[in-house]
Amino acid sequence: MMSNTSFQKKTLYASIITLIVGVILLTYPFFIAFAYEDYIYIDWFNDYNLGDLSSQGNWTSANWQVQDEKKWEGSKGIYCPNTATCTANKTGNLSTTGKYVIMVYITSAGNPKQGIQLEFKIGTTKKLEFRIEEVSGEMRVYGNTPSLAQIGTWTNFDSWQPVEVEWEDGSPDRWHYRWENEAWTDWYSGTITWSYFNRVDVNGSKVGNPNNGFVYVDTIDKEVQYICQLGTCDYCETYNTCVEAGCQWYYSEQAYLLFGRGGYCVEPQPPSEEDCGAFYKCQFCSEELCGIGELEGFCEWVDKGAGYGCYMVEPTIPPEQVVWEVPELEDCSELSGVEKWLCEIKNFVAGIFMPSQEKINVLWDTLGNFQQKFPFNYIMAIDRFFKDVSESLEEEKSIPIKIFGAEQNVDFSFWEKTGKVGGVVESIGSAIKDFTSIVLIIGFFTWLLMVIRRFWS
Amino acid sequence: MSIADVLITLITWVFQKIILPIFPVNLPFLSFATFQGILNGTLKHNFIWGLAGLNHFINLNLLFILVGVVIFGEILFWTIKAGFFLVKLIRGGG
Repeated sequence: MMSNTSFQKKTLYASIITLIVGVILLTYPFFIAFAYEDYIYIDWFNDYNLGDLSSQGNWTSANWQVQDEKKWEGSKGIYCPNTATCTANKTGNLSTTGKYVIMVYITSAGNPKQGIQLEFKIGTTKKLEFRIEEVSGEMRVYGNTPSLAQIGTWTNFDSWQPVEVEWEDGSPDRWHYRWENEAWTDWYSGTITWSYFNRVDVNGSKVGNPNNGFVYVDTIDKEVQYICQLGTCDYCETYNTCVEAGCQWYYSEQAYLLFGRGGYCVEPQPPSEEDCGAFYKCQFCSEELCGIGELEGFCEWVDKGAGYGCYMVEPTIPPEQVVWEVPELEDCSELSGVEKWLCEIKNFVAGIFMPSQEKINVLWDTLGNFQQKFPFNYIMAIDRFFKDVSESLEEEKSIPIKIFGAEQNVDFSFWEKTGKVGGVVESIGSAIKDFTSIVLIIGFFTWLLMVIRRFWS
Repeated sequence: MSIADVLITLITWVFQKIILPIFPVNLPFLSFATFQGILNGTLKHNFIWGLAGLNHFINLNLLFILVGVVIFGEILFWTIKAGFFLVKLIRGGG
């Protein structure tokens, strides 16, 4: 007969084993998913030293050079000189399903033009290929269909263009290509199968010849990285990112009527007196006009990192909310004997349940991220609109008028002239305001009476 | 690391990985940048400068408060009317 203790032990062991197996079963899909990535490697080349790419960033390379003349983003990219054959490869993550974008710049000068070849490999075994190569005076694009065949032509030179390859693990495995932001090719599938890719080779596609053109490469990533910076200002989406990049936020009423957009980011333009105005028009003001007269409080002449310019005054940021603070534990140092022990025990127990300030800050920031998301960001923009309008009501502004081409402000100096109204000294301005206020209040009471009548009718 | 820290780590993970990614930043037909640009740029500019002239003659604060009360009152009025109508409809009374 089984003793009570033995039965309890067996039950306990069985429970523990069940728990462990359960946890493994529940979590193993995550471990498998973590073993594979949707990219092989990402490289922006910005941290490398100028010169030979070889042995930098785990690249095995011949003749590719790190350069800072032409780049899609950041400070550096690589290029293949026209005097040598360029090869480069790097092994990265295992990827069964994924996507690659590589930014390519092919010069129009050169005979033949320099092309590029991408090889997707398992170890050293090539599985997929994409190639741009000049054949019979035409820049042809080749890819696996599944055998290597021409799938199109390359037409854009002297500008950065994306080359994209996407692959999917399945039955069967399939892949497709896209270049120069055109439509994706059809999905191809067939005799090429892979369990994963873990290496991509980037090669210059022509044997070295002094007459060849050049090919530049930058930003190997999962998606096209649209960088908001000088030269690519049109990728800046908001006023703030635009200004920080040293670009200008273009605004014109004509553009607004035509495109239905209030403004967009453009390369810096010289100031123009004609376009100078408040808000998004500040950028067009010269130093002499910036923040003067009507523009006071709306525009300011400052250096925001891209040289001095006329910028819209930053909107009033609401006072910083009190960040959640963790209460401090009781100070036991001044106590003694049993009281000190009790105090320390209390602190110990409280310490178990008390969060650290660091974690509280993380929680605060995480919840704060909702402010950037719909619908909260839209609601906050509306809230800001009404607050600014409400604040603007506090001040009286001048009214500009244009007569025969001459612009002047309406002179309201007579507004301050005083007189006696019903025995009380009052300015003309406030008397008129009082009068209109009474008219408004009478109108309001009329409405109120009508509502009451309507209610009982 | 306290129990509260573990809980907060779990909560922030759920927020960052599951809940936050569900919320979009932009509406498909009106991106936030466009909305913000129009509302707090063009529209606000025109609105403020449009009101600037009126402010000399009319107490705009009073005007907006009264307009707000009228809008709120009308909504309340029609809500109550609708409530009475529904009650009558359900009771079937004349």
